[in-house]
Amino acid sequence: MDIDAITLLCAGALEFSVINYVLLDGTDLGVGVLLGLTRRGVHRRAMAVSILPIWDANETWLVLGGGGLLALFPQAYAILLPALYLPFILMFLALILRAMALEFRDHAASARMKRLVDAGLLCASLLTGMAQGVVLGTLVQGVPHAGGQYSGTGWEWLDPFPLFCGLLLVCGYTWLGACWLYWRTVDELQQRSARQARVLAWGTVGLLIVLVLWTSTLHAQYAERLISPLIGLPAAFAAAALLTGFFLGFRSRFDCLPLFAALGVFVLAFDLMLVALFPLIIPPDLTLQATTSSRNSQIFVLMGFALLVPVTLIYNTYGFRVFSGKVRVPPSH
Amino acid sequence: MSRPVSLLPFTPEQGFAKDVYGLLRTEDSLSSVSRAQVLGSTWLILGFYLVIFTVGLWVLLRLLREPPYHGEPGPQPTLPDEVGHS
Repeated sequence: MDIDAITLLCAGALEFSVINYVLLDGTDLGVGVLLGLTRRGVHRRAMAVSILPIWDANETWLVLGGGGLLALFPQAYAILLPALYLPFILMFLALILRAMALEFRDHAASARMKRLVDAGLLCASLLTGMAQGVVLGTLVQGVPHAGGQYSGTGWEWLDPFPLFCGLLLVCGYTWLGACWLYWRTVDELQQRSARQARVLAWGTVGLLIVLVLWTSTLHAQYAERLISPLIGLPAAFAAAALLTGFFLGFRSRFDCLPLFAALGVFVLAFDLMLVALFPLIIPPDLTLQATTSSRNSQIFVLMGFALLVPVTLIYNTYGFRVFSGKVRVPPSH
Repeated sequence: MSRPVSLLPFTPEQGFAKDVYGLLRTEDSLSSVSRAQVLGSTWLILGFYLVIFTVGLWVLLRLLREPPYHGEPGPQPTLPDEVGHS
């Protein structure tokens, strides 16, 4: 497994973008799902207000991830994008619909109209999460290719494994959303979010265990890595610690603890996926090294990352700081 | 695979400089996305945009139709509390 340090750094930069996207936008996608399932107008308004100032900055990381994949691993991009053409198109259309619904719900003419807009937000959030899970699942499952070109039918993403990954990601995002609302809201809505978060935690963890077992049956390398005690045991221990922190977090006076524990579970699951895949970028056989761009491009893009990543992180942090604190919506809404 | 063509002071990626006259024609650089999927997504995007822009224009015109009036609510005084900006 010959892989040079710069290529490794490129892979790291790309993975950092993707995990940041999943953590940040995943949370507000989950809020979108819960908002669509909530009946009371005051609660829906509080949920919308909690994510309105920050949701679009969270999506910056998706752009960075997509652009980074094209610039840093063009051969992987050339195979992956045609394979996932439809899920990506559906995801982008859903993201447009989501943005419209979130930003314009305050201008809805009537309560009925507003419910319609919120139903759109629900569908778009579900579809976005589903599409992203399907994308990850299709990648892990392995993408058929020949001579640097995608050679499948264009429908592999409808296989049971990617669809299961989509379901898992929707459940996980909704879990993050519930934890976020527990942190950012008060009174009845906060208590309700805590109950939802606990149920969704069990659902997500249950599905994650199934996912790890299912993944290890796909390729010999996955089984070797995931089932090995050197990786499996520490991962199980970390998961148990995070879940303990999650449930105890509801008793502490820091309402953000459950969310951070849940985000920790996401990071753990993402890292397990990377461990199973490394050094592959497109299973079953294409390595990071084989799909890399020229050294000059790598250096050029990495310099851009070195500049952009801190700026974006500062921007995100500033946004979260300015709009920190509890959301309180007067009952007139 | 041919050498990347340098038109810029730094070496561009092969993927960026594909459709260069005389070297690689657009038809030779087609991806393997099927015709059905391209057609389907084209109609999907066109239909979606039609709906989005129609609704957007309708909302805009509805907002414009209402002239300003005395005593209309200015910026909401409760907004800072609502967004958690204390």
